[in-house]
Amino acid sequence: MATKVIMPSLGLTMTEGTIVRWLVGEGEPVAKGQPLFEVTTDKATIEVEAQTTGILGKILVAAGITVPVTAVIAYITEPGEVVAIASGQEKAPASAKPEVVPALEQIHREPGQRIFISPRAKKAAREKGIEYSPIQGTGPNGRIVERDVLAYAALATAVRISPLAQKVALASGIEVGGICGSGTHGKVMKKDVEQALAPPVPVVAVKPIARTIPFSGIRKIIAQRMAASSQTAPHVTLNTEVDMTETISLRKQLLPEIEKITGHKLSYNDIIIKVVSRALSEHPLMNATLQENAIHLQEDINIGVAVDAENGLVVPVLKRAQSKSLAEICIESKKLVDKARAGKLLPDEMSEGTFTISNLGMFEIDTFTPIINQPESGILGIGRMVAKPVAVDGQVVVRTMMSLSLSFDHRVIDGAPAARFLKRIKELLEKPLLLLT
Amino acid sequence: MVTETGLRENAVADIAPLLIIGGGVGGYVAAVKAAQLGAQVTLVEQDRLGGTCLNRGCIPTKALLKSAELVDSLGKAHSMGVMVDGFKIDFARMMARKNQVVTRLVKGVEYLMSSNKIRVIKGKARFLADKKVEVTRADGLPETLFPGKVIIATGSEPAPLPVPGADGSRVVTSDEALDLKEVPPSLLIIGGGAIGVEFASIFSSLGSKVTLVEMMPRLLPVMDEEIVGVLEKALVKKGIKCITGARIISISDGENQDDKLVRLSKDGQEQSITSALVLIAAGRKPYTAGLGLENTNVKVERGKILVNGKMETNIPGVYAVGDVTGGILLAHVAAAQGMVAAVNALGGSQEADLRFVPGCIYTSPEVAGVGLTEKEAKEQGKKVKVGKFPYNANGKAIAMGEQEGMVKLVCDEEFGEILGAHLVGPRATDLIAELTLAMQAELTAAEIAHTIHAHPTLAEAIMEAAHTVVGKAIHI
Repeated sequence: MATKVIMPSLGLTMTEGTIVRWLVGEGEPVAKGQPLFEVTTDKATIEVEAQTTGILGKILVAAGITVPVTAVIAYITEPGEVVAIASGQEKAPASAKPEVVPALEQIHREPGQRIFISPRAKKAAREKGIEYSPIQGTGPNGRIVERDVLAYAALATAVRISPLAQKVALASGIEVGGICGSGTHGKVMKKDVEQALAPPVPVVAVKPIARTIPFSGIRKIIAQRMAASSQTAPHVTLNTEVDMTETISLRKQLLPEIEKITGHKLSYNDIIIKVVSRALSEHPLMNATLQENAIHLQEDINIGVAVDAENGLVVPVLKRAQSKSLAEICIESKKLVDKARAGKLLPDEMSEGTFTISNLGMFEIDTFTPIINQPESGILGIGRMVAKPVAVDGQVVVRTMMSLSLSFDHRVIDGAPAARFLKRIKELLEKPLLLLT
Repeated sequence: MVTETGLRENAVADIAPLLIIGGGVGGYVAAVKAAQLGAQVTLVEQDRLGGTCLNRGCIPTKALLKSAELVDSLGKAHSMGVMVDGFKIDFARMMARKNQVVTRLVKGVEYLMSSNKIRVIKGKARFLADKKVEVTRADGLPETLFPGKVIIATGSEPAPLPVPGADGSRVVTSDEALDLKEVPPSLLIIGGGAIGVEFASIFSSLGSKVTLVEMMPRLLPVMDEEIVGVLEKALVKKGIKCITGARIISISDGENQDDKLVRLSKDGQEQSITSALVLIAAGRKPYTAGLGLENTNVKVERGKILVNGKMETNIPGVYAVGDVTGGILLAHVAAAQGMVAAVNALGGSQEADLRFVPGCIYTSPEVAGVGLTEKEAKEQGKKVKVGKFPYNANGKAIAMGEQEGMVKLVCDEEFGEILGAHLVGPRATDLIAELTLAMQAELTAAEIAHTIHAHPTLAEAIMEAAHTVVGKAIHI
């Protein structure tokens, strides 16, 4: 019995999804829990797992097509089972609501296996010129009866086509079964027949282009959000350099302990999250969202961590950082970043951020001008940690310095308060023991 | 989460909150569609919901046309065996009833908004940037919105006539004509399109001496010529003077204090007509005054907001529908476009299919048409087969005493493809639906001819006209 694979609902407000690609080929075996296909909504690209074990018998909707949630996109069959769908409906039109096509179940019979069929059914099959061995009988003992033959005949030959298109097709003698329909529910319309009849258009030589990336899905979403943020929030970016000597020492001391508790290595980002959370709790205006005519000082400190995922920038959110220990931050951030890189973040894990941190240090970037992640009011850019000569007590010494770039929304905060916030972060990183006060 | 004062700013995981500017047919339909799809919708309307259609257009004129139709019927009552002993017209009551109809429908739209949890702000919206809109609310408080998506549906307003005296006293537009306090003894209507023709019909029935002036060579220039000819004959029979191919030179005060003097030119000859009231119904233009589009990058061309087939402007996430985009200025087009824009604003990718848009004139007799006129089909080089059936051979029409008119199907000879369908006669505006559906579903004349139509109905005439396309009709 074929199992339907449907476009899943991946969020409360999702109405449609676009299939990015199939991860299993038609006819290949698939196990329950195995990633089956990738879907993109307006939030992210997500992998969907197979719900049953079997063979991916039939793919109804190809990659690149958008279908509504709960639309049937494929069938997983049992080994040996064959799924036949009425021709003309194999390709679901891009944005119509496809009707569920009843799967025509065919029985796989061993050669020589006795087929029970009524004389009337046999006569009907002969009249219609169809081979009855694949028909599933609904009569006693699985006997094929006349109505089974009639139903099978109707489905197997039905092509949905408009009366006008049918006339055009008949006049030209073209075989309708092979035409892909553009009308409602895949109905073949006049222009589809005309297109099928038209001589192939000679390929015109085009100027060679290096590569075209479709401006859709994640890329488009990022583009819209960045443009919106950049255009509505007046960004000012403050820079400062932090002497990381004490933080480096702190991390060294805590490394074995954190590893014991969490199984992971404590990262500088984890410490920065902790420090920023503390600074945010002291500077609530930096942990605010501008909504309508009010500045909403948020109770929770939810830190978004910018992650460079395969399809583009994605920002998982570490919630309620104010009440989390370094160990908890370490575990959670690792989990979120891994999920983000794998494209497995759930919409809940990407929402309700109040402040974002973006680290480009691993690319040897010092300062930059990060764009605020709306509706937040600020974003902290982290640069690389680099040993450089600095002046300490009149002497030139080598210290490991790190640049911080704080972009803030000047509608919500002024330069001085923002600078005080940044200074505090610097202070906490240069004297991390202050976290205990 | 919606707070007290409006849209929540766009957060990463939400469907982008949607702002719709304009609560007319384009706007409110888009709002309901979007709400049904789960979006958080805010709609700004500066006047009454329902826009032009409900308040200053379709609905009030239809209500008045019904009263006018009743006047006409009472005029024929004796011949129907109803011995009415004279009757009076109470214009104030007629207008009051019209207002009741309008108010009822406006309340209906208000209910639709609240039942779909759409936030309606009464106020004037003005763009400060592509996605930043300031609303001056009716209660005086300003509000700034940062929508994720916007649908502009601000509609249209009567176009001014660039002629000296057009802004003088006793020169009105259709808006004002619907608020008159008394029936003018004489009325000169400039513009022989749908609006002009309907007003001519109303006021003529109510006793005005009506003159209808049209610039093009004939009335209703976009509809089928033969069909319009039947209407024109009926209008003339009613006493309406129709002057086509005429250009207005000027409007001034007449000799008599209560009159206007209109000078026009036709075939090189000048004419002067006096009339108590002048109605300018010479077209409508997109309404974007005070919208602040100059603060955005939205492309506008001669007042119209430019959109692609998906109703999106050049700015992603900003859509426009209805009269403000130009195109076909009909409520049902605005509604269809509104639904497409709503779906697309929420991530969909639909195109508005406007291939088969019916046009209706609610005069007596009614006129309706969809698709190509006979002339257009021939100009396009089609091998045209026309099927006609007159209502004076239709039992129902004769029984109703309204046998003036006909059904005309313009088909392609090869496959019977229906290229256009045109009706003049009773209930034409409702009957056209069958033909619009047939064209959308690519039914040919044969399918219509072979469909059993109930007897006795006006619709049978459609079946018979289809028969004449594929063979021969029975009843003629």
